[in-house]
Amino acid sequence: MLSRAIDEASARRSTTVEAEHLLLALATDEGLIAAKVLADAGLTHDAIEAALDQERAESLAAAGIGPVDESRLAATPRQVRPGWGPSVKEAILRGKKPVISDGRHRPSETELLIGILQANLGTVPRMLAIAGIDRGDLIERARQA
Amino acid sequence: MIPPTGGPADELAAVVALRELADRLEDAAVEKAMRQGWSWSQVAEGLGVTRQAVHKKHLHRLIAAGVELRRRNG
Repeated sequence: MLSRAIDEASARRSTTVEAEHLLLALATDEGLIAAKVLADAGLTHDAIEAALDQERAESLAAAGIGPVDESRLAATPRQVRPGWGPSVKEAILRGKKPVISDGRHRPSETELLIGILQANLGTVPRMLAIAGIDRGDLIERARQA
Repeated sequence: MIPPTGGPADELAAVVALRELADRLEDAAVEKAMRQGWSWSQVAEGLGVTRQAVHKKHLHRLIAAGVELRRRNG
Protein backbone atom coordinates (compact mmCIF):
# COMPACT_ATOMS: atom_id res chain seq x y z
CA MET A 1 0.00 0.00 0.00
CA LEU A 2 2.82 2.40 0.86
CA SER A 3 4.69 1.64 -2.35
CA ARG A 4 1.46 2.30 -4.24
CA ALA A 5 1.23 5.66 -2.48
CA ILE A 6 4.74 6.46 -3.75
CA ASP A 7 3.59 5.62 -7.29
CA GLU A 8 0.57 7.90 -6.87
CA ALA A 9 2.84 10.75 -5.71
CA SER A 10 5.14 10.24 -8.72
CA ALA A 11 2.17 10.13 -11.09
CA ARG A 12 0.97 13.47 -9.70
CA ARG A 13 4.51 14.91 -10.02
CA SER A 14 4.77 15.54 -6.30
CA THR A 15 8.23 15.70 -4.72
CA THR A 16 6.79 14.25 -1.49
CA VAL A 17 4.33 11.48 -0.66
CA GLU A 18 1.38 13.05 1.17
CA ALA A 19 -1.85 11.84 2.76
CA GLU A 20 -3.79 12.40 -0.46
CA HIS A 21 -1.52 9.94 -2.29
CA LEU A 22 -2.17 7.29 0.32
CA LEU A 23 -5.90 8.01 -0.05
CA LEU A 24 -5.59 7.49 -3.82
CA ALA A 25 -3.72 4.23 -3.23
CA LEU A 26 -6.47 2.98 -0.88
CA ALA A 27 -9.15 3.89 -3.44
CA THR A 28 -7.39 1.87 -6.15
CA ASP A 29 -7.81 -1.55 -4.55
CA GLU A 30 -11.48 -2.32 -5.02
CA GLY A 31 -11.21 -5.40 -2.83
CA LEU A 32 -10.62 -3.27 0.27
CA ILE A 33 -13.33 -2.21 2.71
CA ALA A 34 -11.66 1.22 2.73
CA ALA A 35 -12.11 1.53 -1.04
CA LYS A 36 -15.76 0.54 -0.74
CA VAL A 37 -16.39 3.16 1.97
CA LEU A 38 -14.81 5.79 -0.29
CA ALA A 39 -16.68 4.63 -3.41
CA ASP A 40 -20.00 4.68 -1.52
CA ALA A 41 -19.33 8.38 -0.85
CA GLY A 42 -18.62 8.90 -4.57
CA LEU A 43 -14.85 8.94 -4.00
CA THR A 44 -13.47 6.63 -6.66
CA HIS A 45 -9.81 7.05 -7.62
CA ASP A 46 -10.74 9.30 -10.56
CA ALA A 47 -13.17 11.34 -8.48
CA ILE A 48 -10.49 11.93 -5.81
CA GLU A 49 -8.02 13.04 -8.49
CA ALA A 50 -10.56 15.48 -9.91
CA ALA A 51 -11.35 16.80 -6.43
CA LEU A 52 -7.62 17.24 -5.68
CA ASP A 53 -7.17 19.19 -8.93
CA GLN A 54 -10.12 21.38 -7.93
CA GLU A 55 -8.59 22.00 -4.48
CA ARG A 56 -5.29 23.09 -6.05
CA ALA A 57 -7.05 25.35 -8.56
CA GLU A 58 -9.06 27.04 -5.78
CA SER A 59 -5.96 27.42 -3.62
CA LEU A 60 -4.07 29.08 -6.48
CA ALA A 61 -7.09 31.30 -7.10
CA ALA A 62 -6.79 32.46 -3.47
CA ALA A 63 -3.41 33.90 -4.47
CA GLY A 64 -4.84 35.44 -7.62
CA ILE A 65 -3.39 32.81 -9.96
CA GLY A 66 -5.61 31.54 -12.76
CA PRO A 67 -5.44 28.11 -14.41
CA VAL A 68 -2.04 27.26 -15.91
CA ASP A 69 -2.02 25.46 -19.25
CA GLU A 70 -0.86 21.87 -18.61
CA SER A 71 1.18 21.89 -21.83
CA ARG A 72 3.43 24.58 -20.33
CA LEU A 73 4.13 22.27 -17.40
CA ALA A 74 5.03 19.20 -19.45
CA ALA A 75 8.38 17.84 -18.31
CA THR A 76 10.27 14.59 -17.91
CA PRO A 77 9.57 13.29 -14.38
CA ARG A 78 12.25 13.59 -11.70
CA GLN A 79 14.23 10.42 -11.23
CA VAL A 80 14.43 10.58 -7.46
CA ARG A 81 11.81 8.78 -5.42
CA PRO A 82 9.52 11.21 -3.61
CA GLY A 83 10.24 11.39 0.13
CA TRP A 84 7.71 10.96 2.92
CA GLY A 85 5.83 14.17 3.67
CA PRO A 86 4.52 15.18 7.11
CA SER A 87 0.83 14.65 6.32
CA VAL A 88 1.29 10.99 5.40
CA LYS A 89 3.46 10.32 8.46
CA GLU A 90 0.75 11.79 10.70
CA ALA A 91 -1.97 9.78 8.95
CA ILE A 92 -0.02 6.52 9.41
CA LEU A 93 0.61 7.30 13.09
CA ARG A 94 -3.09 8.00 13.67
CA GLY A 95 -3.98 4.83 11.77
CA LYS A 96 -1.72 2.77 14.01
CA LYS A 97 -3.07 4.33 17.20
CA PRO A 98 -6.78 4.89 16.77
CA VAL A 99 -7.86 8.04 18.59
CA ILE A 100 -11.08 6.36 19.65
CA SER A 101 -10.52 2.71 20.43
CA ASP A 102 -13.75 0.78 20.72
CA GLY A 103 -12.05 -2.58 20.87
CA ARG A 104 -13.23 -3.55 17.39
CA HIS A 105 -10.74 -5.16 15.11
CA ARG A 106 -10.54 -3.55 11.70
CA PRO A 107 -8.27 -4.27 8.75
CA SER A 108 -5.25 -1.98 8.86
CA GLU A 109 -6.26 -0.30 5.59
CA THR A 110 -9.48 0.88 7.20
CA GLU A 111 -7.54 2.25 10.18
CA LEU A 112 -5.25 4.01 7.69
CA LEU A 113 -8.27 5.54 5.97
CA ILE A 114 -9.59 6.79 9.32
CA GLY A 115 -6.12 8.16 10.10
CA ILE A 116 -6.11 10.07 6.81
CA LEU A 117 -9.63 11.41 7.31
CA GLN A 118 -8.92 12.62 10.86
CA ALA A 119 -6.65 15.44 9.67
CA ASN A 120 -8.49 18.72 10.35
CA LEU A 121 -6.34 20.95 8.15
CA GLY A 122 -4.46 20.53 4.90
CA THR A 123 -5.09 19.17 1.43
CA VAL A 124 -7.35 16.18 2.23
CA PRO A 125 -9.89 17.99 4.44
CA ARG A 126 -9.90 20.93 2.00
CA MET A 127 -10.49 18.59 -0.92
CA LEU A 128 -13.39 16.92 0.92
CA ALA A 129 -14.93 20.27 1.95
CA ILE A 130 -14.70 21.64 -1.60
CA ALA A 131 -16.23 18.40 -2.95
CA GLY A 132 -19.10 18.76 -0.46
CA ILE A 133 -18.27 15.57 1.44
CA ASP A 134 -19.12 15.38 5.16
CA ARG A 135 -15.82 14.27 6.69
CA GLY A 136 -17.30 13.35 10.08
CA ASP A 137 -19.90 11.17 8.39
CA LEU A 138 -17.23 9.46 6.27
CA ILE A 139 -15.12 8.71 9.37
CA GLU A 140 -18.20 7.23 11.05
CA ARG A 141 -18.95 5.07 8.02
CA ALA A 142 -15.35 3.82 7.98
CA ARG A 143 -15.66 2.95 11.69
CA GLN A 144 -18.90 1.07 11.10
CA ALA A 145 -17.59 -0.80 8.06
CA MET B 1 -12.06 23.49 15.39
CA ILE B 2 -10.57 25.66 12.63
CA PRO B 3 -12.31 25.07 9.27
CA PRO B 4 -10.00 23.75 6.50
CA THR B 5 -11.21 26.36 3.99
CA GLY B 6 -11.58 30.14 4.15
CA GLY B 7 -9.43 32.79 5.84
CA PRO B 8 -5.83 31.89 6.69
CA ALA B 9 -6.44 28.24 5.63
CA ASP B 10 -6.89 29.44 2.05
CA GLU B 11 -3.78 31.64 2.24
CA LEU B 12 -1.66 28.76 3.57
CA ALA B 13 -3.03 26.36 0.96
CA ALA B 14 -2.18 28.94 -1.71
CA VAL B 15 1.45 28.76 -0.56
CA VAL B 16 1.40 24.95 -0.87
CA ALA B 17 -0.14 25.14 -4.34
CA LEU B 18 2.31 27.85 -5.49
CA ARG B 19 5.33 25.83 -4.32
CA GLU B 20 4.05 22.83 -6.23
CA LEU B 21 3.40 24.96 -9.30
CA ALA B 22 6.86 26.54 -9.05
CA ASP B 23 8.48 23.07 -8.92
CA ARG B 24 6.59 21.96 -12.00
CA LEU B 25 7.34 25.19 -13.89
CA GLU B 26 11.02 24.84 -13.02
CA ASP B 27 11.20 21.28 -14.38
CA ALA B 28 9.45 22.30 -17.60
CA ALA B 29 11.43 25.52 -18.14
CA VAL B 30 14.85 23.98 -17.42
CA GLU B 31 14.12 21.13 -19.81
CA LYS B 32 12.92 23.54 -22.51
CA ALA B 33 16.00 25.75 -22.16
CA MET B 34 18.42 22.80 -22.28
CA ARG B 35 16.67 21.38 -25.36
CA GLN B 36 17.26 24.77 -26.99
CA GLY B 37 20.97 24.48 -26.24
CA TRP B 38 21.29 26.68 -23.15
CA SER B 39 24.31 25.87 -20.98
CA TRP B 40 24.08 24.89 -17.31
CA SER B 41 25.52 28.30 -16.42
CA GLN B 42 22.89 30.15 -18.42
CA VAL B 43 20.03 28.16 -16.89
CA ALA B 44 21.48 28.73 -13.41
CA GLU B 45 21.77 32.45 -14.05
CA GLY B 46 18.22 32.57 -15.33
CA LEU B 47 16.97 30.78 -12.21
CA GLY B 48 19.13 32.80 -9.85
CA VAL B 49 20.83 29.73 -8.38
CA THR B 50 24.31 28.23 -8.63
CA ARG B 51 25.29 26.04 -11.54
CA GLN B 52 25.99 23.21 -9.08
CA ALA B 53 22.46 23.44 -7.69
CA VAL B 54 20.73 23.25 -11.05
CA HIS B 55 23.07 20.47 -12.19
CA LYS B 56 22.42 18.38 -9.09
CA LYS B 57 18.66 18.83 -9.32
CA HIS B 58 18.13 18.22 -13.03
CA LEU B 59 21.04 16.25 -14.53
CA HIS B 60 19.60 12.73 -14.13
CA ARG B 61 16.18 13.83 -15.30
CA LEU B 62 17.56 15.41 -18.45
CA ILE B 63 19.76 12.42 -19.22
CA ALA B 64 16.63 10.24 -18.89
CA ALA B 65 14.82 12.64 -21.22
CA GLY B 66 17.56 12.15 -23.81
CA VAL B 67 18.36 15.87 -23.94
CA GLU B 68 21.69 16.59 -25.57
CA LEU B 69 23.59 18.35 -22.82
CA ARG B 70 26.36 20.84 -23.27
CA ARG B 71 29.49 20.31 -21.24
CA ARG B 72 29.12 21.47 -17.67
CA ASN B 73 31.81 24.11 -18.11
CA GLY B 74 30.17 25.30 -21.32
